[in-house]
Parts: sequence; C-alpha cells; structure tokens
Amino acid sequence: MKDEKIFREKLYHHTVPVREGLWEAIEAQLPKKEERRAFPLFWFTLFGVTLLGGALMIGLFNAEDNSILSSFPKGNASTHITETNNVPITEVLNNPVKPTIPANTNETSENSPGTPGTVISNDALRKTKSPKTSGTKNTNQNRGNNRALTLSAGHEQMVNEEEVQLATATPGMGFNSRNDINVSLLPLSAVELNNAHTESVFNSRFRPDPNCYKFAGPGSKFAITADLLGGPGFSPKTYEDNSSDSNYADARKATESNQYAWSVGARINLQHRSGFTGRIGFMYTQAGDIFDYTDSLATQSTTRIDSFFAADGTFLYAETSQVLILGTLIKKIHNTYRYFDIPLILGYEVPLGRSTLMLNAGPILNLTSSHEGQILDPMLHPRSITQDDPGSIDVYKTSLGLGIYVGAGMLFPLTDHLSGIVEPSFLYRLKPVTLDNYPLSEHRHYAGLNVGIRYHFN
Amino acid sequence: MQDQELIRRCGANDRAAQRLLYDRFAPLVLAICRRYTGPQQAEDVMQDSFIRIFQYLVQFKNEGSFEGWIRRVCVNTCIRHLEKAKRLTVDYFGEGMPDHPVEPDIISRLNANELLTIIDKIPDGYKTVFNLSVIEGYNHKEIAQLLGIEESSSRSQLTKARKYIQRSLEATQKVEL
Repeated sequence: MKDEKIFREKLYHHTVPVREGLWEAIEAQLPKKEERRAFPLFWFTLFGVTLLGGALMIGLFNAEDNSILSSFPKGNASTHITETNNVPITEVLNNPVKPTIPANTNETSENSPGTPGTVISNDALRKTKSPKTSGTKNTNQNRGNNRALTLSAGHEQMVNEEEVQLATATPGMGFNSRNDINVSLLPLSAVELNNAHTESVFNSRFRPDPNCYKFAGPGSKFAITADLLGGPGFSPKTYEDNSSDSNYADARKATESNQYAWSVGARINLQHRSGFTGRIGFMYTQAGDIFDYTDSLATQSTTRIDSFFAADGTFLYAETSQVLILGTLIKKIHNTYRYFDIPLILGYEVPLGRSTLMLNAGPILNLTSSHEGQILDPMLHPRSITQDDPGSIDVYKTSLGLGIYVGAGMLFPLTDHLSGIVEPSFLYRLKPVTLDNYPLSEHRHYAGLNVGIRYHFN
Repeated sequence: MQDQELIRRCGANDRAAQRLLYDRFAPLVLAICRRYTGPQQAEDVMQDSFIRIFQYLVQFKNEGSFEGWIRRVCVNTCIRHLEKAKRLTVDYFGEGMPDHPVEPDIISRLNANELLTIIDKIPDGYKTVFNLSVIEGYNHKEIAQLLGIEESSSRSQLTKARKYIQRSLEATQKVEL
C-alpha cells in the first residue's frame, strides 16, 4: 500500500500520555534494592570476633585467678595450696608449731573473709602430722576452698624451727574474698626441696607454666605440632571493568551470586619457646556460585525438512525451513571454583590461662585452581568456563600467585597431645583470578572460620 | 543523564534512575502496547514491558540505539501477551473484500488516534504482522522468526491486514461523503 509510509510516519514515534499511578504499580513488582554482598562477611567477622573475645575473656579470667596464687611470696621451694574446708591443712606438721602472731588473733575466722589477722589455730596445726609438703594430693581433693596457704621450705640451718607466719590478705592486694595464710614450714629435707617441682605440676592445673612448656621437648627450644583445620566460609568477590564504557561487570554481578564456601587444610608448625612459630602446609578452598541467567528474548531454532513424493513413490524434492520459536531461556547453574594453596605463615602464640591466643599472618602461594560452570562472556552470552569443555571460554588463571593470609584464633587443651583450634581467617588474593587480557578483573578472596585439632609431637 | 549512566544505574537497581527511565520512555512504550494489544490491555502489558526492561537491562550490549532495544523488548512482550491470550490465531477472510484503492488523501487527513482506531479493528493476527511490517519495519523473514510462522504466512497476513484497513478507510470515506 502506498499509504503505508503515512502510517509509519504518524505512528512510529507516536506517544500516549501515561496516567498517574502506573509507576507505583511497576515499582511494587521490581525487586528490592539488592543487599550488600559484604553483609554475610560482616556477620561472619562479628561471629569470629565474638568467639575470639569470649575465648580471651575466659583466658584472662583464668589468668586472674592464678595471679592470686602467684602473688604470694615464694621461697626456694614453695607450694601454693588452695584448700577447701575449715581445716587449713589436713596432713602436714609433725612438730609443735610456734606461732609468731599474737594469741588473741589466733583463731580462724571463716565469717570475715579478707579480714587481716585471720590465722590458723594452734590446735588445728597441732593436729596435723608430717612436716613434708605433701599436701598437694590432699589439697587437690579439697580444691575450691576460699583459702590459700603457702608452705615454704627454708634454709637448712633453720632446722627444727617452725613458724607459722601470718600472711593473710592485705587490703588492696586483691584478696578481699579470701582468708589467706602464709605458712612457712622450716625445715624441709633436701629430698623435699628436690620435690619442689610439684609446684609446677600443681600450678599447671591453673595455667601453663612457662618453665614447663609442655609443647617443647626436654631441653629443646623448639616443638613440632601439626594442625588439621577446616570449616565454612564466605568467598567475597569483586568485578571491575577494564574499560570505562562497558557494563560487563554489572551484568556479571547481576547474574552471579555466592552460594557457599569452605576450606580444609593441614599444616606443620615449628614452634619456638618464645612463642614465634613457623607454619607450612596446604589449604584447599572451594567456593560455589549460582549463575542465574534469563533471556526473555531467546529463540529456539528448529530445522524442518519436508520431502515431497509423487504418487508412485518417486522422490520429487525437499523443502528445508528454519522454524524459530520465541521463548524464555532460563539457566540456573551451580559454578564451582577450587583453589589449592600452600600457606607459609609466621605465627605468634601467647598463653592465656589454659588457652593460647594465636596470631597468624603470611604469604600464601596458589599452586593451582580450577573452575566449572557457566558465566556471561563479554558479549553477554552464557558460556562454559569448564576447562576442556567444547566451546568454553578462557577466563580464569590456573595459578593465582601470591596471596596474604591473616588469622587469629585460640587453642584449647583437650588431652596431653591434642588441642582444639578455632581460627577465623581471611585470605586476600593479591592478583585477579581472571586472565590479564580479559576485559574484566575479578578478585576472589576467602573468609573462613577454621575449626580443628592440633597434635603435639613432643 | 547520559544513556549509559542511566543504564548502569538502572542495572544496579537504582530506583531514582529507574523512575527517570520510566518517565522518559513510558509514553512511547504505552503507545506501542496500545497499538499491539488495544486500549484495554495496553497498561498491563506496559507494566510487564518495564519489568522486563529493568530485568534485562544489564544484558543491553550498547549495540544500536537504546530506544530500539526498548522497542524490541516491548514488542516481544506484546507478542508474548497475545500468544498467551491466543489472540494470534488468524481467521481468514471470506469473499467480498474490497480490492480497489481508497483515496490517499483520506489517510493523510487522519491523525494518529484515528489511524490507531482503524488498526484496532484488524484481527490480532493480521494486526501484529501489520504493526511489525509497516510500523516497526521488520521484513517478512524477521516476522516469521519472531512469530514462529512461515514467511508466506506473514506475507498473506499482511495482505489481509491491508484489505481490512482498506475496508475501514472506505467506510470512513463514505461517512465523509
């Protein structure tokens, strides 16, 4: 029709006024503003910090308890005893005791905790036997009392002298809630003096003894331990277009979302008595994404061949036609990214009560990485990234080079040779995981909460 | 705001940018929907079109004009809508359709709304082909691909649409006389 041009001219750019309220209807159907991807990382970090803080508090609390014991004056061989009942020592002195305190203050006062002048009664002391400082076992049974006694062995020339010395809590020394008595036992035999190491055995129930650092072998400055770690994590990633006029990064962000991440690893630790530790091992990390792609303008092409035959069956000709079907293409593909790294970490470990605070940092070398799944290519078409897949696109490096590992955790003693480890960590990859000539730079890092065990070889 | 910036912000789900894009293109999109689906359904299809536009904006490849891309999404949405409503079924004409041309001046004297009224009277199947061919400028191969029909069907439907329009114009001519 000759007049069809008029239709086009008048209708191609034709517009119709839009009534109010339509935008609100559209807006209601639009997805809500996307949550920040870093949000899970925030919660993860918060969890890690809380865990670490809690462990520190427990450690400090334990350390505070021990500080009470350690503030007593020490002789050459002294034993700190915390005793549970009103009888201060259940098995001790053989010889008469000569108190060095005024007689009128010579009574045990349970009901006035922390009152200066509280002492052990002579009677109570007379009832006791044996001058040996063998009260360790008994006091173990009685642990939990609100009293502390110090038995001190003195010099040999002071044999036959015994004195009970008032060493009760002094206001301002932090002993207000206890009746504290310092009992100096003089003398003790050489054997008993040699038995002074019982102190550290006993003390180890409360805190690590720096003189008996169990992780070091006898006379060794170093100890060897092995860690086995693993746990869930989160793999934050960033995309950056290498050219300013591209929206490829936005398209990638819109079509890929984090699903899961986890890691396992093992490492050998060479631990110096000073607390510094060198670690080497391996770390396997796996992250999962979901590639969510919908193309509402997709077409499906089908080839149709119509063959025509004469009545007698003779083939006449064939017509080939392409039939395109309009449709929506929906892809929901689980992508998997795997990394194998060698961490070379310098650590520092500080005893905190029964626990140990552990700080780790150092380079991590990626040996190999692999990937499976699909992503949008720079032309925004979905393409496979699985290596060796026909038609796959070359996007990712197979070796990522150096990264930085940072972690802070706690060690909790479990048995003589085993400790539990909780270590939140962060792995920052210095270089993009994408190839250098790829039009987009993609960085992938890893934050994880490692839980595991440590075996002490010494 | 430049188109690229607008597209980028819309792709990032920036509501203000989406509103800006809506304000800019809503009258055009509504007119296209009106032309394909008629006045009753136009607003509903327009809403669908915008939701698709915002959903797939990140897939816009910066090849060709942005308005052209929006038109394409909108036209596809209209076609999907008609397919769902099974309004693309074509009823062939009976005999007695006029073959002689109408006076050209009549068409040029009609305004856009009057032309739309004429187009509205065409059955949906013919109307879609007419819109795609005459207004949007698609060729028969493209129309055949888009609608999943043979090229010959596209040609014949366009012919029928023309005849409908001729009949409508003749009626208009008679009224004027």
